[in-house]
Amino acid sequence: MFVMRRSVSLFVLVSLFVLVTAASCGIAVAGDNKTDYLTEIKPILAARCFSCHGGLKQESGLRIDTAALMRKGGESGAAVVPGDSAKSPLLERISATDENVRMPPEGKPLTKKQIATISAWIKLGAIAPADEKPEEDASRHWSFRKPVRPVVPTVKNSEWVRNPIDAFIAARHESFELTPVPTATKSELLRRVYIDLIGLPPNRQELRAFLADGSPDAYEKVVDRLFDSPQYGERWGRHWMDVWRYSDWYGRRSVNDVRNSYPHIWRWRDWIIRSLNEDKGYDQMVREMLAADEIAPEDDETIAALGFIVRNWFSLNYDTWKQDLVEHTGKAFLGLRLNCAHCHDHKYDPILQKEYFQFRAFFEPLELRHDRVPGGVALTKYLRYTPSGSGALKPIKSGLPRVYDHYLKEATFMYRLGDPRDRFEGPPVTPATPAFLGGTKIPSQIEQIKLPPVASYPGLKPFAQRAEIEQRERAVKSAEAELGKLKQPSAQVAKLVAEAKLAAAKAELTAMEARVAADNSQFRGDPGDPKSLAQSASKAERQAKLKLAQLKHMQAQQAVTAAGGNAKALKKAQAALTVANKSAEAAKSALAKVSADYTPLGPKYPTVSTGRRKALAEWIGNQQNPLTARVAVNHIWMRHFGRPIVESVFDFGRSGTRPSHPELIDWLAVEMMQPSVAPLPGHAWSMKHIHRLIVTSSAYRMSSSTPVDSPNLKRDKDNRWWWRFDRQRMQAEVVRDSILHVAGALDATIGGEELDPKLEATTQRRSLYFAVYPEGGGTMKFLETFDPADPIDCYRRKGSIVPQQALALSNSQLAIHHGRLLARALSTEIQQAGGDAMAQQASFITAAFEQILTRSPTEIEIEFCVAFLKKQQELYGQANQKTGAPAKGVVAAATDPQLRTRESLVRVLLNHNDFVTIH
Amino acid sequence: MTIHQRDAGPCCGCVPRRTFLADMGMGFTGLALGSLLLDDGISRAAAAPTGKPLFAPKAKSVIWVFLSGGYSQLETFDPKPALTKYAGKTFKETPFDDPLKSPLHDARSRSVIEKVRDKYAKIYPTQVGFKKYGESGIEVSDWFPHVGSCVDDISFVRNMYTTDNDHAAENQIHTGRHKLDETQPSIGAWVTYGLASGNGNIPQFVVLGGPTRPDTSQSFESYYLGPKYGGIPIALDPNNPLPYGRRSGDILLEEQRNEFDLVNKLNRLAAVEYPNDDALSARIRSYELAFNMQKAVPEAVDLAGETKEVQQLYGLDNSNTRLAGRRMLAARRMVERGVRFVQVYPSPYGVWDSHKNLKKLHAAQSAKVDKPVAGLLKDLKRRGLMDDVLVVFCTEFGRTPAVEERSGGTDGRDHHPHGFTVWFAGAGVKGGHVHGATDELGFHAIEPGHYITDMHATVLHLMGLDGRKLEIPGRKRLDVDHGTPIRDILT
Repeated sequence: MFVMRRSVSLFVLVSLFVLVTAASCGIAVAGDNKTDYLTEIKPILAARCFSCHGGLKQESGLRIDTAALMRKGGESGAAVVPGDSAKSPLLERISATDENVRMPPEGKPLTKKQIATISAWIKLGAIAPADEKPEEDASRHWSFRKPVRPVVPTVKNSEWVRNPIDAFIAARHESFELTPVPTATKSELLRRVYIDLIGLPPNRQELRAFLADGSPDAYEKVVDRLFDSPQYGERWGRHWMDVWRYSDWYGRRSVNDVRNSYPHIWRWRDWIIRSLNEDKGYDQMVREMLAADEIAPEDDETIAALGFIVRNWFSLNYDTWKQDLVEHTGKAFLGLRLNCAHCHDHKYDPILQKEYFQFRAFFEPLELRHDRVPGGVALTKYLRYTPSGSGALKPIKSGLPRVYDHYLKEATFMYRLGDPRDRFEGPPVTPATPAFLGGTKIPSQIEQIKLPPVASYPGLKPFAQRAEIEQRERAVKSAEAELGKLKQPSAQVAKLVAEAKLAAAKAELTAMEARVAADNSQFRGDPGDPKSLAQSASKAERQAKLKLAQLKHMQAQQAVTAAGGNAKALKKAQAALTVANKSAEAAKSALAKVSADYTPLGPKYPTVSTGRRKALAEWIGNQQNPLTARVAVNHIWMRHFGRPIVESVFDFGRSGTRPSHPELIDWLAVEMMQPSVAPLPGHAWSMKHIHRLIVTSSAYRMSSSTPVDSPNLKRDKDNRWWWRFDRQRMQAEVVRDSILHVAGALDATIGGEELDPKLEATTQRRSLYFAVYPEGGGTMKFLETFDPADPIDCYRRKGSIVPQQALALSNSQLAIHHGRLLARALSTEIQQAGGDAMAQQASFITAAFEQILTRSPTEIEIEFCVAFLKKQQELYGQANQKTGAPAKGVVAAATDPQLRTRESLVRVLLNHNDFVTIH
Repeated sequence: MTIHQRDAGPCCGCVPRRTFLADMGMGFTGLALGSLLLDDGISRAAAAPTGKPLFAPKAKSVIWVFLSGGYSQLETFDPKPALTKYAGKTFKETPFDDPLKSPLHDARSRSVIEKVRDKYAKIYPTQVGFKKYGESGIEVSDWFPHVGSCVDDISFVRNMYTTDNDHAAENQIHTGRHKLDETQPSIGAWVTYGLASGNGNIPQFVVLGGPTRPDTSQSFESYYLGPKYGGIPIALDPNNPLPYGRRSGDILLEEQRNEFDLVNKLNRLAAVEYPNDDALSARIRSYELAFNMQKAVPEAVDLAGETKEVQQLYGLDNSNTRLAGRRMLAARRMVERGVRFVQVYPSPYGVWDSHKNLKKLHAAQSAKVDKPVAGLLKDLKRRGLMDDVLVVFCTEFGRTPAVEERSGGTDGRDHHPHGFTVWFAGAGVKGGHVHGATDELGFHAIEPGHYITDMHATVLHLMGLDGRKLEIPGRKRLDVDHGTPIRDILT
């Protein structure tokens, strides 16, 4: 392993060089040398050397992140001797031809030019600025230290401050001499907060009610109402589905072959929506997604949370499953690129390759299964992919996909360069969290968990037992009916067969009741002696077998009689009779045995779980973990403001970006874990609490427009310090949902099985309920041009502007059809209100603006629209204008020319920049 | 989706470059939108790639021809007399080193399924004759006489290898990564990302004849580069070639023109009020482009206007070659209109996959594509387009020199990632040239062999780009992802 190689080469180093210890030299005057250290030397060393000889690691005690440290050297003395490149071990090592000696040990050697530049710099005295600062120690990195609630700054603009968020924002305003822009207009603010919290714009009535409400807390009342709407869970559910990479099953969906994720994973989506609407703590959500089977083993509603793990499942190769789990657990919950340490120690963060595998070990025992759900069919064990088999793994039509610890003793081995075939020698690793994040200091004790019987034996669930009994009761009823239907007098044989069938069905029912009774006494503590009940069940089952064998025997005899002169049929029937005879005999003799064995009601799984994932989940969802809350509030902030506080949303490590507002992110993180500002949420880790603080802050209420002559533009053109609200483009799902919503057509049904994307134009459900997967056919066509979530990973969306969006908004069935319906509805409404033609025209324009853009039109806009309506009407009046049939699924254009012009105007407003933009 | 803007906006999951700039106190949020602006010359400064080649490009467009299923190198472009000589013998019975024992064997194949593929060792003779063509005298199999007649314009690369021994190799040759590794954008997406638009009225990355199956769409996806750099499948139906590219029948052209005019009039009102809103400017421009696109794309796929002679050159007059011919001809029309990257699938999914009955299958499939592909080369040449257009012809892997004996097979070849042939023609590429070789048995790519990303590097190089300079911060790419241009084939 290369760690070994590294230490060998170090030994070589020591023996190779006679090291100069007295590296005393004064700092020469900079400026006259040809090589500039900061721009030419340091970047090379930073890129290739600092990961082992800097703030992260100090191999051989050597750091070279400042010129002074190079002179000071490490265990083997100075690395650089100013003025003497020949005596500088650093140069010797980077230019060595022997691969065992050459530095850096990985990747291509430094180029000749780079070596020459470094050599020249050393010869000229290895000059560097006197105030050069070494790299910060990795453990001191801002996000690796536990957040401490910062003092809320006192600012001059105190009347602007509604809550501590504003104080942190205002403090920056003041240090950069920025003036926050005024509050947005009431209608802008209403539209902003509606789309933000429920993903839909307000309708006209809601707009008018809000404009008419002059009370000081009018806005807060709207916010409260939106938080109580179940549509909040749908809106923010889709956001978190991005982060947690929700995907419906795929692989080769075109040939009905499941390879990735799993059918019915939508139950996880519904769990997300439900949990958000209940305002379940973020910590608890994380715990349930990683370990619901260990912390709530009897609760199927909660077990659906394991979808996070199921989504990463890959039937062909479990290594890939676990790699993806490590990578995305790291990125989503911890903001760490753990995956970088898959092939080598992390180059930026203090994560050893060994720690990568220790992290993976939490997931090592995993296996997939699906459990029966009420109303669903009985399930056998899920089918493991067999390369030698048919190849295809058909999607299962019912059930709850979930994981459990199956390979309880499975060892985790380290391997080289991402290739599992190339294992390191030595013992396997055991599960552990990275040491630099507190490791064992954060409670993460792994204790094996004894599972309740229903968890390891789902057939015990009362609904499953009832379903099994009811199924047999129905069989008895149907056999009785069959017997009753026989015509009197009927053939003796037919009657005997029908009677045997009834007897067999009754025996089946009795056996099932006995099996359930035996199960219940053994596993649920029901009264009765488990052993004798088991024996009865065993006997009843054998009795049922006998009755069934007798039925078969009788049927075989019937077939023999029926065969008559047909020799071929007779031969077949006689063979069947012989078999039936034998089975009946066997069943009869089996009856005499004394046994307590009976068939369980479905598969049984291990009765214990390793407790590994529970420990991991508790370590992540812990107030002591410095990363969890910070990463979460950053995601939340980004989705309100369009931009995060830490740009690199899935990398809070040393190669990520620093927060623009370090105190603010820490304050938000601590506030989420330990709420202190009213209204208090009643529990820690409340996300609604953070949302509420954000949307009621002054920072959030600012206008998005900028006066042209604003001095802010000179000081902070990009609005880095949030002196205005950033305009955002609606997300793909919001565009589609909003068209349906403004047209009054949105189907508000919540949850359920995923819908076929092909039905996007005809099914008026919200977009998050349609199947999404990273394969052709896995995106709704309408969404495709608006940057929908990429189910491979989507920690952050794009907001591009492309011509195809214009085509979708003007030519899609969705926009044309619903646009027409909206135009007609508004027209009818206006007509009913009365007034002359001119006034009606103006009212229509106003109503359309209010409904589609949540604002009234300006005078000049009305003027433009009036002229447009006239022009279109003239166009329709021209005799030579022949139109064809409407596109498929689109209601035909109105025949009344005036109504048709209004349909046209509605289309225009759906294409208005203000429709797809959040101001 | 693509329409050539440089959008510096934060892409899904990546750390945008502007972040880094912002860290140096030079925030660039204002530039977040786009290349529409860039095309307008409104702002050119900041986004990740500039949209211009980094150095003088040899090629302006690429036509990437992909044959799905894995054509046999041994029956197309890599003649191996030893196979016929030692037919029926095992590798060990020949004077050559046993290729199954070579360390290259395991290094260059990884099974997605946790099971090693069967190894076959009994040599299967070449199933078709070879002839020398052109001044260069390069040998091509008798199943490709038309391509044979073009050899003096072609550089063959006979030492390609990949690492997936199953059909996910189809996505791998386009993305550079094995299925078990992290997903990456496709080569077409990188080209589109790297270069500004050649024509604003038509998508810059077009897919013809694909995806051949939903799971092969990864071969033209853009992943973290953002949807606008992904390939757009275009149907060769002038009535409805692209999604939402057609007005509803009951909306008049003039009616929609008026609508678009009002949209922009209203948007411009806002633009007067908010002169700093770049998104708004981009939106206004996008409506002008959208209107033009509705006309330009159907026109581009309308083959009816081509002369009879041209149609015949591509084989449109013959039912056997018509399908591939139409796609190749449409490809030429696309590059003429400034499309940067045309990914063409002349054959349906997997049809070259000849585990059994290779002779019949390969003969039938080559008869469908040989003339259309050669037609494209000839047509490009006489129009002077060979100086601007690079043509790449490839498949996901080769086929085994040994006979596939699975379930009693006697007349087919199995998947073979270890050695296969692809070819390049056109802008910046030598003609009548053979680069590299497989060993005597046609098994391992040697000297030392090119991993598939060397094809990507070659394409990018000819387009004036360098994959290493297109890196997205926060998205780790490895050396192997970038590859090295195959310089020997360059003029």
